[in-house]
Amino acid sequence: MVLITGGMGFTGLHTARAFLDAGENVVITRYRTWREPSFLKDEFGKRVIVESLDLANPFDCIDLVRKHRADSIVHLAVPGHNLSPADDFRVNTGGLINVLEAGRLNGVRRVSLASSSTVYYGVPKGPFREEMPLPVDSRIATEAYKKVFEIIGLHYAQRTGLDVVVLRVGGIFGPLYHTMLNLPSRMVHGALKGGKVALSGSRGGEVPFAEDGHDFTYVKDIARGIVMAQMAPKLNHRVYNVTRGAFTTHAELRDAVIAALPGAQIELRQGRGPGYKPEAWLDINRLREDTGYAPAWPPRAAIADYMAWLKAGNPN
Amino acid sequence: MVLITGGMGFIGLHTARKLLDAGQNVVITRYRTWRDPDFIKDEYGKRVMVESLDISNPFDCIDLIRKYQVDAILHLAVPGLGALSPAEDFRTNMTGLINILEAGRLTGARRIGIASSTAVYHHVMEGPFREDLPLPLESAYPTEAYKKVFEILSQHYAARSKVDVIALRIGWIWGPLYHSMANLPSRMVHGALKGGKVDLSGGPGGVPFEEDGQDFCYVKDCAKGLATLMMAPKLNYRVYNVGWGSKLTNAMLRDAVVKAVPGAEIPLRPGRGPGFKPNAFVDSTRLREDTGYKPDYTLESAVAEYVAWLKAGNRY
Repeated sequence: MVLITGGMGFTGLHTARAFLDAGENVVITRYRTWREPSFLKDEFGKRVIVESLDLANPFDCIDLVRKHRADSIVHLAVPGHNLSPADDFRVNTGGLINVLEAGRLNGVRRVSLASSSTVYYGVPKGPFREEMPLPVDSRIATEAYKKVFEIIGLHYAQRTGLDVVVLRVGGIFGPLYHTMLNLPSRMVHGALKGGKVALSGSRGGEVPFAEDGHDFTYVKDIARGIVMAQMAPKLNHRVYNVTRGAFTTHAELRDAVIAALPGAQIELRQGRGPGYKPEAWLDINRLREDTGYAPAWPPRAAIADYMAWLKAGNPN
Repeated sequence: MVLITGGMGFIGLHTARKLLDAGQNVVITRYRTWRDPDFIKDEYGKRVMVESLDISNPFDCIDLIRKYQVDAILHLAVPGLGALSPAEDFRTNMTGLINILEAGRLTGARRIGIASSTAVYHHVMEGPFREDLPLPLESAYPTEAYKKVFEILSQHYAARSKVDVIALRIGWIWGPLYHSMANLPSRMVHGALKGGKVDLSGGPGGVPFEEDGQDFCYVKDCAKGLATLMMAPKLNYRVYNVGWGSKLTNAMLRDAVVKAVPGAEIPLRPGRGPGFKPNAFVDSTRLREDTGYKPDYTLESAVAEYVAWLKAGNRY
């Protein structure tokens, strides 16, 4: 039985599905959200137990692990948006120690902490490898807090003997994605709306450059990577990149969208933008070697799958 | 009025003295310690207000600042090293940090200095250690982990809340009042004054090697650096090494001790040890260029003064 904090989130629900497919039952926790996607809701109350959890409460964390006899924890939960700096601090740090201690006190086999590819933001060029030292300054809260999770998680593992693993996920897009920050989702949604897809003026900034890109990873690949890392009997490292491990340009994304929806009008600017980084993808050799993981969703297949999901009437 | 949390500690008391010398009054906080060294005790209750403070209490921090109309905070307080469980270490460190940051923000502090440590360079294999180096995420001991975390979070906090927060990387400090006997200069000096052959085998790594070294910095020069940074009207950076920035070897240290304690026998092993790091000193350019700081001591004059202090009957 795996406990997934934040399990009712975008990544969490797909991760829950991937655990079920691998034969594990799950407890998924929620705080303010509620989602019941078609690919999972029939299992609610059966192989998927849904529980409310305020991470900042230490006792609830301990009780939840005990109640369901969870033998491992995947900590995906993050605080909501628009919290004050102090509240962000409280929920992130409180949640972290509560999860670690709940794991330790209940003798769980492994605690995996979701980290993020944003920790590489200050690294000038890729490929981004797990052993790279990282800059102290951070552009956004996620980058700061995930670095802290990693430092504390590794330190805590060393002091207590708890098996703590850090999973750097990122560039995630796909069914249920709702914050509309990343480009694949904005392109797909925009194309389905019809007409010229407006990519400028969104939180991402101006019209993107064709040769810029990211290690975009379909959420189903992320979920499988998380599950394989969590379930591997023995891991040789503590920190793993969990992405597709390849650079997808905005042009390739655009072409994938057009392939899935011929006639879609998506304009990009030519060439590379000022923020272009060479080889800006994450190296996933550790994950491959230690778990046998291999990404299964190249951009065209992923975009087509995503498009089909939205066309079937799902709003996000 | 400057508030120094942990101000009754080794570094705190010397820093309080330097601030007094610069015309500032101070509030120094204590938790379990009590010290009243000659060089400052006459000011207790006058220009040095001594207050008890548990940094994990948010309200007491705010009240203290208000009571004395503190306008700048230097956060030196740390939980007792090795004294707490992993979870309690976490809780004390993290709540202490956010309590100080928020107390400073709410009371309009001009500047908050957060004590960091040269321990953050522990896994950096080669110096000179510059403040802009990216850092590895592993930590060999709590100080290394927590100071990295303090820096990441306080930088992030400063960016979000517009409070002037600086991180001060302090390390390898020795001199009057130093009592934990972990670092070499103090062990050498105390050993030399005891007489006979100085046995340095008790430290990590056994008897030190002549060509190894650390950027040992006399506490009064460290205190001067801290006071200078807290009082400088304008600073260009957020992170500062506070140290001599000198390439010192254990052999040079031994020679200085022998000069101050003629006849002292201090055996060292020849050559370099297995842990040798090239250029194992901090780069102090930022401190010097931003503030005009210059050390008052050389290795020899510092050792001589320290020896005189101990010979005058002071235990540490």
